[in-house]
Amino acid sequence: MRTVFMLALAGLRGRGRVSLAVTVGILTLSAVGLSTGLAVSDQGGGAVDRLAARTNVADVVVWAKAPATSGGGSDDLGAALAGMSGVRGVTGPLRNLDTTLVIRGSGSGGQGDEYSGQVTALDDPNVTVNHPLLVGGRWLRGPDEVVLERSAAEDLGVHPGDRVALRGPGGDVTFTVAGTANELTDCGFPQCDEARMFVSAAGLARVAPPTPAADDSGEASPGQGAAISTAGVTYWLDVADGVSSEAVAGAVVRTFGDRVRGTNTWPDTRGDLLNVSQIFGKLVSAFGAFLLVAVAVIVAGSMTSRMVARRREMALLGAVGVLPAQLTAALLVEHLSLGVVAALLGWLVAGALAPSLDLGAAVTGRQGPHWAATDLLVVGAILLLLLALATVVGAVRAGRASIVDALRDAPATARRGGPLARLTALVPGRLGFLGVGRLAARPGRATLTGLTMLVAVIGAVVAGGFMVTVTEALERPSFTGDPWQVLVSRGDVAPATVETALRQTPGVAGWWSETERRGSYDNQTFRVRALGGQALPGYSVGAGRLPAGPGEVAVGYGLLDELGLRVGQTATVEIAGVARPVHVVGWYRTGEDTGRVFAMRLADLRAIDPAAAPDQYRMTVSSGSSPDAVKSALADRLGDGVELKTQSVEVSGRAVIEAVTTLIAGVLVLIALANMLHALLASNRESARDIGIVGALGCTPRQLVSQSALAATALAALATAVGLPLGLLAFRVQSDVVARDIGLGPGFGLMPSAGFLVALVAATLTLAAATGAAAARGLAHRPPGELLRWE
Amino acid sequence: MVTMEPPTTTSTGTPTDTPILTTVDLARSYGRGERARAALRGVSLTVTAGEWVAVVGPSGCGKSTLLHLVGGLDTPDSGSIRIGDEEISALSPTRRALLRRRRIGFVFQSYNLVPHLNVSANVELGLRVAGVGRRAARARAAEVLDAVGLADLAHALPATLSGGQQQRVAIARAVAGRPDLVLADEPTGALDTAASRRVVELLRAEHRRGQTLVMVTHDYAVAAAADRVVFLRDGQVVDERRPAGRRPAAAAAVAAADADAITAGAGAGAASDGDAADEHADASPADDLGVRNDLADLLGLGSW
Repeated sequence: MRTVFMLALAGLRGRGRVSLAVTVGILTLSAVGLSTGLAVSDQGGGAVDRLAARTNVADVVVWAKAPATSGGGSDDLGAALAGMSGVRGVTGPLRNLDTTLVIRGSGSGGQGDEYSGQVTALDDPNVTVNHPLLVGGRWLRGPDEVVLERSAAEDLGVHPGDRVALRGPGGDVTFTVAGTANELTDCGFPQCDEARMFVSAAGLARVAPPTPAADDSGEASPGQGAAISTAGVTYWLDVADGVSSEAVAGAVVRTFGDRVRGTNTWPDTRGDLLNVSQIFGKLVSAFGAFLLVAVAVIVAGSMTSRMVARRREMALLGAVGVLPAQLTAALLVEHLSLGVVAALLGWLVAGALAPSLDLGAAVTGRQGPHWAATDLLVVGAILLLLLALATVVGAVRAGRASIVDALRDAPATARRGGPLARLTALVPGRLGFLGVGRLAARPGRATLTGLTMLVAVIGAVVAGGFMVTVTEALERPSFTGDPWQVLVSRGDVAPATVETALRQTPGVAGWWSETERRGSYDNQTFRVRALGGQALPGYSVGAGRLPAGPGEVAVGYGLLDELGLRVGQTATVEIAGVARPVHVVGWYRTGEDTGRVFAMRLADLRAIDPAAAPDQYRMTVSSGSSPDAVKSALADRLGDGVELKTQSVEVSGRAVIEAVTTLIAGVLVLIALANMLHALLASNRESARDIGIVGALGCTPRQLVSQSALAATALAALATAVGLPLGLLAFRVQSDVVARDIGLGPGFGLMPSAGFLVALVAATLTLAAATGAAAARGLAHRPPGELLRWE
Repeated sequence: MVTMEPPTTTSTGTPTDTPILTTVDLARSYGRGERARAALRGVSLTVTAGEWVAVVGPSGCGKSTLLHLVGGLDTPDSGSIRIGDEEISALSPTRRALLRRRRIGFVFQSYNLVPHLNVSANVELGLRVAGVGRRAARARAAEVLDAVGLADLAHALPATLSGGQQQRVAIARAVAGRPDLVLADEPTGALDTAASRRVVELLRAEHRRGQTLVMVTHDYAVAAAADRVVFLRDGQVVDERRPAGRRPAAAAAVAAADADAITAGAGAGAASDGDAADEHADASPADDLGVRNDLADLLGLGSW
């Protein structure tokens, strides 16, 4: 054992410090890649789920109409909800109000910026279900304080101590921000809906004073202003383990009908929260596979190179009596030591990088450096396993080699040149291809080096495709199923009034209405969207078409896949509690609810529910106008009775995605180049005498460097020629898998542009040439006499 | 005791008053500080055109270092080296490389053939480096391979050849470009006796054609084939000898005795090294020993 450690230590201390440093560098880069993949893929879903557990997130959120103050209603509803099958607990009723959040700039007497908001009265945050989790400041202490949901606060730049205003029927009412909190009844701002806020019951009364007795319907009397007409109550339901939230939500809708304005489930919210993260997480996971292959190839190549370069030393040890098993053990100790160092370094670097790569941070909060012990164990285990395999295989091969040949420094069999090496002798301009011949004389190592480059090229192509696709998804919401630019939630304003305004407002290019219900099929509940109005929405249709005639439906891909439906199929579906035969005429892409959406015609819904009326109107804006201008014009026409919203574009996420895809592709390419450098260094050192011969014959140092650069470029060219088409194919396959998974369906991915591919090829070849030149520079400038004596 | 007389002609009778190689006070050390070892300490040497100079000495005396410096494979710490009129000691690595491709051919002890190139490609390599076109290089390679008796092995790989055959390829490569100077570093060092004789014969043939040769060797029998023998010891020239009275006739007698020894065992023509055993068997040990004793006497060598 002592001999083994002595040999291992000698090996680590031995010459070739540059080679050792490059080896450790390569292994560390590999570890960084693996660790980053693990850290990032854990952040999104993991962080959200942890937060959900801490807050005992509501499995079902029920928005109900505000009760008449003179009558019962809400307490009955609460009790009824609590008594439903599968419901374990209820928080509520909590009064809420749709309002406008006004944020004024410091010292300004102006109007300030306005945002849609929803405020809920909650004096004590310590409720059983869905208790908000403070992340900054403190909870409410008085009627003039407000707590903002975290993502809204961060996006709007609001901090504890700031003053904001909430708009009520009497005007703007000022509040002081007491704190910010996590709250998961819906996804983050501005991706989802309004900025969510909490005030005390007294605070809510400041914004919307209690109204006189409403009519028996439980609705407030008309004419009491927008704030009152949008007032309601919320219930947060905890569903028992094993019970489907969707099923409970569907039951609530069926049971309580018009008393319920809407429901939301945690799976839907989670899907919305992680929508972009899902794509991103899948991307990172996919790259984990690339990195693993690249790491395996690199480790095998590096360790083999290292042992080949030391074969004479190993032969000497064998000649003086060191047993093959001892030598193998010493090599294992040596290489595993390098692996431990590399794994630790890689884990530290990746953990430090992880927070800047977290897309879900807006909602969950940006975590600190992510250093999970499990990640270190996983990365370390993978790296050490690969190192052990490569070392044992290489050591066994070295042990079989002739000691006499090694001590005589007779050329190894491979150096005599196989068919590939001799082939280079036929190439015109043979002089330039001497380097290629040297590389080809070791086909195994050359193959491993080329393979790493191939993996890097494939990875870069896939990264390019994902970047283009995700950027498009973020910048053009219609790409993922939101083909609208301005939205009108009509509230209690009559549909005819809204539709007249839409027809008369300049800048409105086309509009359609949406009416929501819940549907179910085969015990699965889902969102049903009845479409009406002037034009069908511009959804991205994957196959078939949108419904145009009676009984026709189109299905979001997620639902199509989940329910096993086919385009052209007729099925009996329960819509708003009524079974109806429907004909599936197409599927379309929508990220909402991971594609679990059902689109039908409003006329068909009215056959079931004659009173069905549009809840929302969505529209596109004509060129020459802008969404904000149209929104403003509609506000003038419709007044405060409606809620208006323009489509937001998530800019911050794009920067992170671009950074991560660039980082991952960059790491892959860097690893490949570092491996190529290492392989060429080893190859050149092995061929030092050959280089000396050619130098003695009159090749200048520049020619020697060029030969090595050409060898590297030739290898990179081969890897690129094979890697580009493979990369495009891999991207297509992978993007289809990801898109199916998140409900957007196959064919979603956008190919990287021709410009990107050309740039990738040029960069790869250029960097390879530079790497080859760097690998030869040291030897090329040594005196040939020294190289001829090289051992 | 052999007296020193300045050579005036080579064994071929070619005028030799044109120096092709001149070194003055050449010095080279390796290592640093306490580990520094002087390989050469002020070596001055002149080789004239068409001359064959052998440099002999014990191991570590600086023979190979001298050759590497003269050939531009290394740079001296001090001193001057001129190839013809060209001072090369201070040239840049690139300029020295250009010099080598034009004016110098090398033959090494370990042959130093490129292992993955066949015989013809190895011979052509020097020519291609010098800028000779493919066809011309191939034709010239065929010519010199024929001269060294390896025309039928043009497509063989070095690893399939014997040591002697590889060295003959190396010689072909060295002379293919008709350099001003051929530097041979222990050309027979790794060869058996028969192969050594073959190689020496080749070198002699090239010398007869007017090739200037500087050869490092520890084998006196090989050294005796040269016009002049330079003795190195501890990095310095300690003696130079040309066999006294060994004007062309005497040198020819030596050469004849040598040739007899070779032909007695080899037979005519391009004997392959596969026949080395036959060569050796035909030459009687007594003859061989006798030739060696004669050479040692001629050179006044005695015990070293």
